[in-house]
Amino acid sequence: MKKTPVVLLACMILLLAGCSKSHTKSADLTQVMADMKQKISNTQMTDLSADDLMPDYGIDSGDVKQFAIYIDSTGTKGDEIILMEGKNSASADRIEKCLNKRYEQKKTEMKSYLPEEYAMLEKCRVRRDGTYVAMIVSPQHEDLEKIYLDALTPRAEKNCLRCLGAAVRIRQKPAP
Amino acid sequence: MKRNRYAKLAAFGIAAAVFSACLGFENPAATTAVIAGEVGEPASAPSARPAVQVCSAAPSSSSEIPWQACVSETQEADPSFLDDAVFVGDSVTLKLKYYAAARRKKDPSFLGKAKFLAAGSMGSGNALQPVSAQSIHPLYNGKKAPLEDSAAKMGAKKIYIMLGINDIALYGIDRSAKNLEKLALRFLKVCPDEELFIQSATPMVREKQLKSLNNKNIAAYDKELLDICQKRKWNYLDVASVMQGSDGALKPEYCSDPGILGIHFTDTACNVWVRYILTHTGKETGG
Repeated sequence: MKKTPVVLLACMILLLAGCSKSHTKSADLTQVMADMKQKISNTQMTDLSADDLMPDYGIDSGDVKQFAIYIDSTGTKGDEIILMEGKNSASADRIEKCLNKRYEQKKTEMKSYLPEEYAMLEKCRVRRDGTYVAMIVSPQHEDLEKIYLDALTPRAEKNCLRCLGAAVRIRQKPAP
Repeated sequence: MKRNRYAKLAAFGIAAAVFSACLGFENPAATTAVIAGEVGEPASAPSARPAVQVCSAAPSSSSEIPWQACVSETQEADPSFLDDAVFVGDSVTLKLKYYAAARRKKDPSFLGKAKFLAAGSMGSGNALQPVSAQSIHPLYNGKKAPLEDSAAKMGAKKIYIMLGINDIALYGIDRSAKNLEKLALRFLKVCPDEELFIQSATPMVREKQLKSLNNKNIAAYDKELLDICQKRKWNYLDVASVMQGSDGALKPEYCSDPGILGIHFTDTACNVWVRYILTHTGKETGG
């Protein structure tokens, strides 16, 4: 009888340890961007390629595991969506630094030229999630960020929640 | 007596303030929202004026140098002519940049391997400012640098410059043209063997003309650029000539923002622009 709580505690620890191994963030950024495009109202945007990583952003393609970039093509709006996964933490550090630079340069350009776009830009930011780095500048940035965050390992987190739920139910089960 | 002295001091102070404001064209703080600042100040009557073909007019300066600045039309060159070209400009050029990126997905040879140095609010005035965290100089390979240095790093042998829209209201026609001349000389100082193509600023739709930024002033600015090119023996590309209608305004079908600023291009306009560039290479055989 006294052993039951100890056994249950041991099971919970094992379950949590198992969950943490699969708690690595992962998302197919091409798919994420495709999902985002369903929400984006700007119809004058274009995808950029790997050839644009270094000249436009100073990002070494050797640091990038996967990416998707979608940018306003008219020259008159600040809409720019950059989704990247670094190959490792150090790569992600470098990518984040480059995107922060890009963000600041956008602010400099827009502040005096396109005040409404600047106001929109100020509500957006560069975000880092593990080895993922994103800059989502869009009037629909809240919806797009939700798509992005939902895409970052929803399955692992749900599995962990299920593990915890099962552990709680075992704990609550009356002793035979 | 005291009243006279104070009056003289006040007059002197006002004169000093006016004088320093006139020198403000190189003051970074003066780089403000040229176009945005003019919103709400439309021209009293949108000017409808016949189109001006800058290159068909004689140069205003009397010179013994033969007429050569205006690049004649030739056979269309192969896009590879632009492999070593860098396009320097503002938001109008930014549109060309992203249009080229989109076209190159299906046609990698579109515009050759031309590169771009463009920023939305760029003008020759703010391009002449020192590089800083707040300066407008576009990043290249993650670094901010003077345009001429970035172009050199890009391996530019041909520089196509289109600036002025963000200068005219701020600095006036004459000073804007002189700033562009100064900027162009900086490119040649860094790379003396670069070939310069000074592109005219392009017109705006008739209804969106403003008090200072309007087609009459743009045409006057372009005329000054032509005179500079004539004097310096630089190539002058009258891009405006293929963008304007009979009234001198940007053709409606070429304008992507007729309800906003009325100066930016559609994809169709970009095609016309690219064709103009490739048929005005300065080479008889088209490169």
